[in-house]
Amino acid sequence: MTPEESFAEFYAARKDPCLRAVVASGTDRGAAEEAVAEAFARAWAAWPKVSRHPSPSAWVVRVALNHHVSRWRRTRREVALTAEVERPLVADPPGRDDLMRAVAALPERQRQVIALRVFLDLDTKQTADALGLSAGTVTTHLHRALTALRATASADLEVCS
Amino acid sequence: MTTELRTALTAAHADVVLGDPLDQVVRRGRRIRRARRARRTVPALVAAAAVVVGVIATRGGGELVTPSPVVLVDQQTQAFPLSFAEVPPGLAGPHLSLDPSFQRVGPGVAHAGWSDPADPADGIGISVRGDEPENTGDDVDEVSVHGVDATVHRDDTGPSTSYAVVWERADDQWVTVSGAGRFGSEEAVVRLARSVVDRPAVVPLQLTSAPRGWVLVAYKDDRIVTFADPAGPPATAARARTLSVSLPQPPSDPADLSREVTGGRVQPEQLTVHGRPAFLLPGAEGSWYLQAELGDGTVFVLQVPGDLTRDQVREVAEGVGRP
Repeated sequence: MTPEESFAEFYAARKDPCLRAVVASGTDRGAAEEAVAEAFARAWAAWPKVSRHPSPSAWVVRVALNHHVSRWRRTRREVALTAEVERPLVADPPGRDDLMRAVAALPERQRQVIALRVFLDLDTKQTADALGLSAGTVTTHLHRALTALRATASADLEVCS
Repeated sequence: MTTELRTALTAAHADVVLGDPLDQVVRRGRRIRRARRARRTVPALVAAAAVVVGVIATRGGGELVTPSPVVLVDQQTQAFPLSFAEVPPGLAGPHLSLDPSFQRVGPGVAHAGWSDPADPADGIGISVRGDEPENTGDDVDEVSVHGVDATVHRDDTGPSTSYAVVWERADDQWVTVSGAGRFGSEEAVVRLARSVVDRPAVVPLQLTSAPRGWVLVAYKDDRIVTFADPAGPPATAARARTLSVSLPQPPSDPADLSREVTGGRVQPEQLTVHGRPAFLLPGAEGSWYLQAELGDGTVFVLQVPGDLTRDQVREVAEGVGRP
């Protein structure tokens, strides 16, 4: 498989989970799209190195979470967002707003831990590595986040581990 | 992690999709890569041009020409250019070093390091070089330092995890700020990187006089300072034309010089430097060696190419000092 093919495969499979992770981490949707696209571009620019990273998706999300969007891309995106507002709105499924609000209400680190665990399917160690935290800290954040979400969003959510 | 929660969160974000086409992302990636390559290539081209000029200047009918007569000129104070706005309490330093370039006659990597005397594993450092460093560990993040994109690296290969932040602070000035021990975290090194300021740290062994056009290529604390002739091979080569002053480990006796350089076969010539007795002898392969003392009695050894005159050797020695 050529580098181009492996990156194309990676991009197709991981672009949406990465964006969801960044959005769920609390980044504004428009800014998140900017940041994730930029992070994937940087990943391609350094693909020989990034492809050997233990979790290239985590690398992309970390870069995206910290990325400062350049002016020309922000300007371009503002135009696109303006156009988006005119599209008809689709009704949210029942319960979605509660869950989104509950996630949004979590402290930043708890949101990030949840986002990486859910959307990138990282384990505790990978999450800790990606966020620069200890595994114990990740476990604590995860436990608190799950407790809060269980209490707030749905009585049916049960913590299994 | 609960399956229910995972399912619910995934469903809640089902319409969050990235619409940017692959080719657009790839094009942007290529631009980033080209920009990085350009930043690396320009200094290399300048160096290559210098090499070409050097070849033309040193070849005449296939023969190496004799070096031009040496003219001594005053030198700028040798210094490491950067520091932290505030060095964290408990750290000693800086320890300063400069390694020569392997590719050309010039400086390679300059480094200033601070460490905790109670626990040397706790330390921070600043490195400066002309090209983008490699092999600094895994890329773990991209941050902004003084408005410039910087990359955070993590290195797990040492006895403890260390972090480093790398960015191009100015044209051909790549800066790496590193931290280990209690400074071995992304938060610590990014905070330190953002506190880097232009505040030169003077090298504690100085040379005020050296041949015109020669460049500073190496130093290490108060132990050694080396200049090199740009017309010669890189300072790391055996045939490099260098001028070095170094402090031998005490105690040091004038007899040591003759014994180490000529096996004791040549008796040194006595002269006066800094108002104190000094000893000069021609060494092997056309170099001068001189052993003298600073005003405080510290012994130093000077090694210079043989095409300097005896008076020039003494003049260089008179310019050796501490700030």
